[in-house]
Amino acid sequence: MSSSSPVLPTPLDNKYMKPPDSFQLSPIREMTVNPSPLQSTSSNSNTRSTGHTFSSPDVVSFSSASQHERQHQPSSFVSQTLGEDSVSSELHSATFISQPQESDEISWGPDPFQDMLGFPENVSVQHDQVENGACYTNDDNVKQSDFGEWVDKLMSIDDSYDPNWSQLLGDDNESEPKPKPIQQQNVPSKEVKGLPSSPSTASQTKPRMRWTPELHEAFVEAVNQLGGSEKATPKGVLNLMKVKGLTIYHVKSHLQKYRTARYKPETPEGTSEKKLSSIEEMKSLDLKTSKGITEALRLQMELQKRLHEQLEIQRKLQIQIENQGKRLQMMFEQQREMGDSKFKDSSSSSLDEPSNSEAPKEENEKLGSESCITKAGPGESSRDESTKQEMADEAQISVPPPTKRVKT
Amino acid sequence: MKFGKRLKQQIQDSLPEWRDKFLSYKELKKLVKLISAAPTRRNESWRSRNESLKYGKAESDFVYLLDIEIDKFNGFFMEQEEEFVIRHENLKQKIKRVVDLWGPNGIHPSEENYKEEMEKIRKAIVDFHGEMVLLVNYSNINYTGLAKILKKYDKRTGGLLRLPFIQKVLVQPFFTTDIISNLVKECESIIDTVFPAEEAAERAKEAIVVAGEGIFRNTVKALLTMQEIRKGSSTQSPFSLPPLNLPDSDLIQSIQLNAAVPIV
Repeated sequence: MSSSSPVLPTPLDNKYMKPPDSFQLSPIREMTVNPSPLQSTSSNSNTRSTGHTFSSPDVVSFSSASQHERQHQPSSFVSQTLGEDSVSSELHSATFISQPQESDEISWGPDPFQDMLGFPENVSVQHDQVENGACYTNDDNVKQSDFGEWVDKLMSIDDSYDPNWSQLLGDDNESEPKPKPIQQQNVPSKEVKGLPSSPSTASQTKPRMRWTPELHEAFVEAVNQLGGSEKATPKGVLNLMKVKGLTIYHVKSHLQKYRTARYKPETPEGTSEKKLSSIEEMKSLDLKTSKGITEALRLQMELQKRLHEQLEIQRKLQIQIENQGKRLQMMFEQQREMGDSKFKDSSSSSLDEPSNSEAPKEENEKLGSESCITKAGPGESSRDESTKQEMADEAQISVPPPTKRVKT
Repeated sequence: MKFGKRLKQQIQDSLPEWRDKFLSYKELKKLVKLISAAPTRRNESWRSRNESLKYGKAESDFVYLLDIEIDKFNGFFMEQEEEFVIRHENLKQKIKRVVDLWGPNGIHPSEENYKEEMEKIRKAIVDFHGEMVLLVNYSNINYTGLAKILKKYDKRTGGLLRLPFIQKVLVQPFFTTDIISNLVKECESIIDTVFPAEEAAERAKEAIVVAGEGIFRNTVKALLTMQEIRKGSSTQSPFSLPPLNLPDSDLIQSIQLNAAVPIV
């Protein structure tokens, strides 16, 4: 398993930018990763992409299913099984093919999940090339045919895209401290998330940017510097903002939204027309005073506050419940494993060998020592039983320490 | 089917643009039924190929649909989030402009204009606040639905999908609602500054009569629904939420939804 969390963002950073000290982007989607081929290893990535055409339809559909997860989980799985450098395509497809079978076991393995759980904390950490490979394979598996198309699109969007990119590179060290992530979560203030709404081209060209207030503030400032929302161009804004991983596409769509919002102010005539009937109602109920309206608004506000409060509480509860459940599950599994090995150890002498080799596999050394005890008295049922007892007792006692160890 | 009904109700009561963005609970339930109807274990080779294929298909359909739904949530949620971030900023700026221009200390103090604008702004903020809260509600109800359907899946198929899957869901953008929650809280503090000092008295009574339109109505419904959903699980487990304890729940109930005003 890769030593670092299965996050795709920073591979890009690693490869093409100097170690950033501030703003980190976590493009979970590969949109930002893909530009890299434009820069250098285009041949490399092309090989990869063509390589993946070997994948069987089943494999592709599986990977597209996993793509839909919107999560790094599959990619972490992938990154585990695939190497970072150009691995032979056969290996790729082979490992990928093996996955569907595993997935039949319903859970995609506990490991990637555990890895993922570490995700929020590790997002801004530098990652090694492994994820890079994962990024490539992830994309390529699903969109190999579209890759070239996408590249063309990208190149045509903005002729000076490359200079933009290098400018981003150049400005890397001077990235504004302003947009620095200040979130209580450990997630950086923006993330690029791809949106594989369908395993088609659309998803590749529509990476999702999570616009936080800080990011938006930087945006607004850039726009104002450029003379307002009408005059500002996406390119200009992008350059001014100097935010890693931000693409012109993101800026474009955001600018559009911004423009519409400005010219359709929060108190538009439209809504007042709709609400006309209710206003009439209010009037008819003898509440012509603005005081009445204000009070009504207050009540509305109160209720909304209430709902929000409850929602937050509920959410916290839900998270707690799941964490609890996770812990319980882990403990339960441990107990079961230990129970299993105990059972195997004491069941028959012939099983002593395999059981001994099994026990050491456990993370707990105590178990290993327990199996030694059994070996001492093979084939004697009474003795086995007493050993079983001993082991049971030891197992009970030894549960707490293992829990600590197992928890990553 | 209780949750399914509630969900349907919520969907109907929500803003029109949102209606198809909710969880396809019914659909997922159908798939779970399908899966449990063809309960072939993949390991048993003597089963007919067809059966195991059906099983496999239903199962992969289920997972596939789950993934699609999550993407749907994420997409919609982040889109709304982005809009809210923009609107929030705009509102703040607008308030500033109004205050600077027509406010008591402004460039061009004009009580009438100020009052009028402020009224509009107040309404806008409260509605904006409400919309954001409804988005949080959206996130939550979808999460609840997912948790429930996964529980059903595990129950029916003896699988172990629920736990790991829900762990992933927990970190999804649509469920990490911190940004919106912060905006909501900011809104609340802005409101305090924008509203005139509180005047006691009959506000509750009057207000109730006025209530029942648009966002407000949705909020009331959302609260009631939440209460209903958490009323008490038939399958109480460590994973169940405790019943909702809403103070003033009678007040809320009395805010009747005799709304003659259709939601537009």
